Amino acid sequence: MENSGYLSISDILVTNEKIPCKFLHDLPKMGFLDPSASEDDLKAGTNVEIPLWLAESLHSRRPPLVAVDLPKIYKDSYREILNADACTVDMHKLSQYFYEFGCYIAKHDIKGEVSNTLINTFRQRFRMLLSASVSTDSVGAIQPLSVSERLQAAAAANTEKALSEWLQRGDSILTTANMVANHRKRKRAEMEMH
Amino acid sequence: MDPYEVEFIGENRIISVIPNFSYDKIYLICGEFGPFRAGLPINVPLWLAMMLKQKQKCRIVPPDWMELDTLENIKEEEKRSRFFTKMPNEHYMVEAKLILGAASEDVPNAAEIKTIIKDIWDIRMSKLRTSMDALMKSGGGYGRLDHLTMMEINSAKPLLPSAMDYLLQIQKKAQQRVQQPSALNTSTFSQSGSSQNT
Amino acid sequence: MFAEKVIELLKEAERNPVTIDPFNDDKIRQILEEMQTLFRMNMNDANATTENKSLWTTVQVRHSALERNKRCLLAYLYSRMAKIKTLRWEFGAILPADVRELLSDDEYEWFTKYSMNLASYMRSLGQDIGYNGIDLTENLKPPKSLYIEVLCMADYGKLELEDGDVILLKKNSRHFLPTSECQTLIRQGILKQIS
Repeated sequence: MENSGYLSISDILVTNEKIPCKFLHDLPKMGFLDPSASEDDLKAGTNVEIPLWLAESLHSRRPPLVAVDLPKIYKDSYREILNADACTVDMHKLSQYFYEFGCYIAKHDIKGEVSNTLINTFRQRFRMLLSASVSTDSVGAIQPLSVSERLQAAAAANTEKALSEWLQRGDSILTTANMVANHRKRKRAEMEMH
Repeated sequence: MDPYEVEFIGENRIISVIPNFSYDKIYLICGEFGPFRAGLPINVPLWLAMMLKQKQKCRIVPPDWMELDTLENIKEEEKRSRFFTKMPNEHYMVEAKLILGAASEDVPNAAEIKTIIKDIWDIRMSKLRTSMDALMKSGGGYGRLDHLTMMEINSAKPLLPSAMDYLLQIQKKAQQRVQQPSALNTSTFSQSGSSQNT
Repeated sequence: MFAEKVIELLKEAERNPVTIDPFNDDKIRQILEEMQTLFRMNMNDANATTENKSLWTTVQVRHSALERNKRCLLAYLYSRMAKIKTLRWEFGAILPADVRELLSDDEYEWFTKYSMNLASYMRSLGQDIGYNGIDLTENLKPPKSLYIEVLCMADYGKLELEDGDVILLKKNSRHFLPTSECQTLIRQGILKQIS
């Protein structure tokens, strides 16, 4: 999340997640935003899910063109599950950008409860990152993690791996640079396919 | 940091060796060492000791703490204490790994000593993991690292600092009450240089 | 929906975080066409707003989509730029042909300039104290031994050592070499250290 800048691909993917909106005004020629409608114009009162970046842009007009609703994973019923035991939730299935998306959603949450859920969820799930970093079944341990959790767990697993190699080996050996090795690997895989 | 980088730093520690050759004083960036007299103990940096040992030019004098009774006590105390206890030195693991790896014949009871040091390390590492989890759960903003050695602190990176940073980011962004005008796709360039990976 | 093609482009780039894909000319052309269409529609509708005020909001929505597309395209180029920098550090100043062809002409020009900048910076290092520069792409790990044993992974050809000796690097040949003279070849995957 540290890079939520203009050029950040991860922030772009986060803001591509969809959010339920209600249109407050007619929008000529924008009927295609609602896949269930066949008219050219989008009518006021239509409910439709649109990407966050578009919703933010429509919401920030004066007067706002849409009213934003919370996606269901940030609503009461899901929040109860998360607050009870966040570690049982498969974030990869539920919401891959749960925290980052949630940070944008939080300001549309009048009761201000979303931000606490985000924080509590990460605090609880930290132990999943810890165990994923030392797990022998790394695929299984990483599976239920969100995108950013996966990145953190993978970095921790690298540290863990380097440390256990250090403990076991004598000297460190020089190795092929990362991108060079991966480029070769990919080339070989492509050759084998053809 | 790569563990080998920590090892490199630890290799500057001074240990005692007994050379089997005589030679004049040598002048190194880290200091002057020598003159070397065959059969007389002399203090040198760990890396130099290892080099001499590999060339069979010396015998290593095990550090005071590399001894069964001392280590047995350390292990018991480490088990008893909720906190991290003080280790014989900042790079005990580097010293143990290098000396027991290259010169185990110079250390009495080398095999037992190896096992007991590994036990101490394992106790401390699992304590470290437990306290990281407790720290995150309690929402504490800082953790005390008293008596943790450099290699041990290094093992918590980048996970612990990055997770705490992540939490702070969520707090900052999600609790932003002031509604700022949305500028998601307009360029407010704050370009950060990408750090060069290895 | 707006700006969907460009998301495909970015997802494609994210899928391979550690290697670089071929520059996707074709998709970029399609995205630019989408942007031109949006722009033309906006020109028409902006001229018609005097009769129909509500068209103004439609224009604004399309404008957001234009900005979104622009942001995504720039992010695509920027993420490739970071990878191209890494290419310089890992493959060196001369790219193998199969890597070179993954870059667009403009990107290759940028690579060449970056490479030259880096080289002149490295040459300048330490000049004030009498050194002829430092190669920052070398000595990335703490030194361990002066000589190492290596296995050759490809037919490389002749290598001239600092002492004037010339050795022939053939696939599967083994050599005992000064670390300082073979570490770059190891990073480039031509040699492999045997422990």
